Amino acid sequence: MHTLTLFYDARCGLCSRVRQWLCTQPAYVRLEFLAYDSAEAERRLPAIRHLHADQEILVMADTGEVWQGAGAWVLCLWALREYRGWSARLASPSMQLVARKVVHWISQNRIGMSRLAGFKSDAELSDAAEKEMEEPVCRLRHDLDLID
Amino acid sequence: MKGTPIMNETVITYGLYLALAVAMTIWVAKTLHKSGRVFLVECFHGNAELADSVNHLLVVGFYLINIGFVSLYLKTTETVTGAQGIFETLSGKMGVVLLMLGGMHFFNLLLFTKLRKRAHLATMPPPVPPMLRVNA
Repeated sequence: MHTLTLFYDARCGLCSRVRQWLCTQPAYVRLEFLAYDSAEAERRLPAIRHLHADQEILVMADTGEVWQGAGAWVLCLWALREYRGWSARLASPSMQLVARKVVHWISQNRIGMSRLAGFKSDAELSDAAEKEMEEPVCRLRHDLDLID
Repeated sequence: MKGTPIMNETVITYGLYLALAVAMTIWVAKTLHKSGRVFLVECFHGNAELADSVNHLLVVGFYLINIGFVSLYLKTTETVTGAQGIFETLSGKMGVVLLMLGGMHFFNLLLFTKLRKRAHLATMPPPVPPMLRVNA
C-alpha cells in the first residue's frame, strides 16, 4: 500500500482541523484527502453513496480496501510514523469496542464541537480564500483601466 | 625512600581494582557484542554488514564510557591498611563499577529493543481488517 485516501467532511471544522494535523505528521504512506461529497470521491469510490460517509469517516487504500469509523481512525494512526504503535494497541477487540463508541459519539456531535472550539472548516476557508482572490482581480483591472 | 615503599596497600588496591574492572568491562562488552548481533541483524532487516558495523560502534562506545569511568573512579582518599583494608576498599570500588556496568548493559538492551520495535513497526500490516474491498 502506498496511498491512503481519506473521505472526510470538508464542511466540519473538527474534521478539517484533524486533516491539517494529519498533513503535518511524518507518515509511512502518502495521505490524500477528499471531501466525501465531491465528484472526485464518487469517481474513486462509486459505492460511497451507500456507505453513509456523512456519518462516519471513510478510508480507502490504493489496493482497494475500505475502512470506516473506528477502523478508519486506527488506519490513520497506522499511517503515521509516530503513532503506529498506538494503532496496534487500539486494534485489540476490547479497545475497538470502546473506540467504536467514542468515534461514533464524536462523529454525531462533530458540528457542535467544531462550533464550540471555533474550528473553521475547509469549505469555509476556501470560500474566504475565493473571496480574497476575487478582490485583487478587481483591483488589477482598475489599475489597468488607469493606465489606459 | 625507605619510608614510602613503591608497593604499599593503596597501590596494591589500585592494581587489583584496575585489573578486575577492566576484565569485567571486557567480559560484558564481549557478551554484548556476541549476543547483540542477532538483535541488530533483525533491526536492519537482515543487513548483516550494517548490523556488524553498528554493533562494533556500540561496543567501542561501551568501552570508552566504562574505562573512562573506571579510571576516574580509581583514586581513594582514605589510607588503606592491611589485607582487610585492601579487600574493603576494593569491594566498595568494584561494587560501584559493577552497578555502573549493569546499568550500561541494560541501557544497551533498551536501545536494542527500541530499535527492534521500530523495525517491526515499519513493516507492520494494517492492524484491523477492512470493512469491504473494491477494485482499485
